[in-house]
Amino acid sequence: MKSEMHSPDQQADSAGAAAHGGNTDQAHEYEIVVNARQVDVSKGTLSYIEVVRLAFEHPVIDENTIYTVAYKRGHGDKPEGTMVDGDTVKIKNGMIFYVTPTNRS
Amino acid sequence: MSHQLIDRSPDLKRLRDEGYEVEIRSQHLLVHGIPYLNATGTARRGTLVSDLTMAGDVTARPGSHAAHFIGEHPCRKDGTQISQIKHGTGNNPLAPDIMVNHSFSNKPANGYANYYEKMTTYIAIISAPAQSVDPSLTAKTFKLIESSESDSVFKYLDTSSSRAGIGAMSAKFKGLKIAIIGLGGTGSYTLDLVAKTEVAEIHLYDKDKLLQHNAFRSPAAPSQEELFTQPPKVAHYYHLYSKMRRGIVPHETFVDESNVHELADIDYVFICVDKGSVKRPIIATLQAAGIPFIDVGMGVHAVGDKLWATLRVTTSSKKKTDHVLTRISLSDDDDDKYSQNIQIADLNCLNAALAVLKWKKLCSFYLDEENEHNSTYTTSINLFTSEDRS
Repeated sequence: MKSEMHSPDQQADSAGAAAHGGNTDQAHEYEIVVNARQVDVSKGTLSYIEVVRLAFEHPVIDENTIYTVAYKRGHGDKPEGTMVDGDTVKIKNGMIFYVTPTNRS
Repeated sequence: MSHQLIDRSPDLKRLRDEGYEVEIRSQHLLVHGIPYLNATGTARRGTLVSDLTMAGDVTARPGSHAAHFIGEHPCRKDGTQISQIKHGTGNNPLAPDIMVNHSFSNKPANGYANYYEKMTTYIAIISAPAQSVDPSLTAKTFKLIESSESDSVFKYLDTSSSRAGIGAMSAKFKGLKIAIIGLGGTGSYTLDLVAKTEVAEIHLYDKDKLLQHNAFRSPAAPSQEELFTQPPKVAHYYHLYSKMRRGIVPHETFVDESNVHELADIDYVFICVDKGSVKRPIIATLQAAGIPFIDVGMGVHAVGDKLWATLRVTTSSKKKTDHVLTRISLSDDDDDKYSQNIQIADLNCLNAALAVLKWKKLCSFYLDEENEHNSTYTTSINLFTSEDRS
């Protein structure tokens, strides 16, 4: 639902991102969705841990604890995928992240 | 059971090896395809039936000389019933699935030494008139031998594969030993799918009992009576799937340092457990031994009055192992912090199906051009990902 609301912004941003040539624009505000909540971020690149912190207020950050981070509607070279610790991803308006432990069976 | 009984009992094995259509059903011995002449002199085929005297899991000396017949009463060439064996006529249910039409009595002075002697003696008497008319008529049809039923893990033929003409591909699973660690929702659905392949053994590891809530996220439909007894999960699934196949091996225990070495001769392992911390010795042991495994897990969250979930399938194969610790959490800390342990049968089922599908790719049953070793599916954005390619 939310993602559909953002689709005009997303198109507008595609042109903007091209104009910036992929540079991270610290002043730019990006509207993204993390775990179905709309979040504004000012960074053009987010790390795995930064995305986890956007998803959860008090995540467990240690070497044994792993969150599964999946994203969609990202930049053209890798519009969708997952992130592990150490990964970064370029941010785009309307980009969607889902973050969760995947330990239930 | 019936195949093992035939294999272990020299008299039954000899009958089968000589081409008789031997079947064990409801504790009775049936030999199908016996040629005989009916009252009008027409050649027919019927089934000779005998009760079985057992000594443990092999046949003993026949306790009764009597036999039964499914068909018309066998006759001589002149249309009269063969009086040498005649005893009684009338439908008689020996078992719920065995209805005989006639009973025979032919007693040698010393009785019958074994079932080979008993059945072939009756068959010779029954078939003699028919063979006199047409010498090519024989009870040695080799009909069941053709099905090679005797060395199948299934208690009845896998007609699904044979109908589809993919028997040769299905045979790729033959002889494999599989372990499923954890029989929660995903583990039990994994069992459901693996049980329908020709793998030789499926080892089940779980210490928990089957409780009422389990019924709503596992295959099949346990009765209230079954749930009342709170059976161990491994026992419940052993009985459920042993109706269909052999080779289900229940282990009513968790896997930890003390018994992880039992996995050393397993070919593929499915890890379907909730606790991250217990995975460490399992992963270490399997990777050291070069045993491929697939670890599954999911997270389900509520947003307002709706749910979303991400499912994960992580594969460690002979080709790639180095990504595993970046994908599988070994921590228990994350357990209850944000998730309420919501699980839904269709999510468990899909996670299991994705894991089994990947295993079938590792077995070269399905074509695999992606060779991904980590895959996720997120419901709310309908997103499949595949990464960590080998």
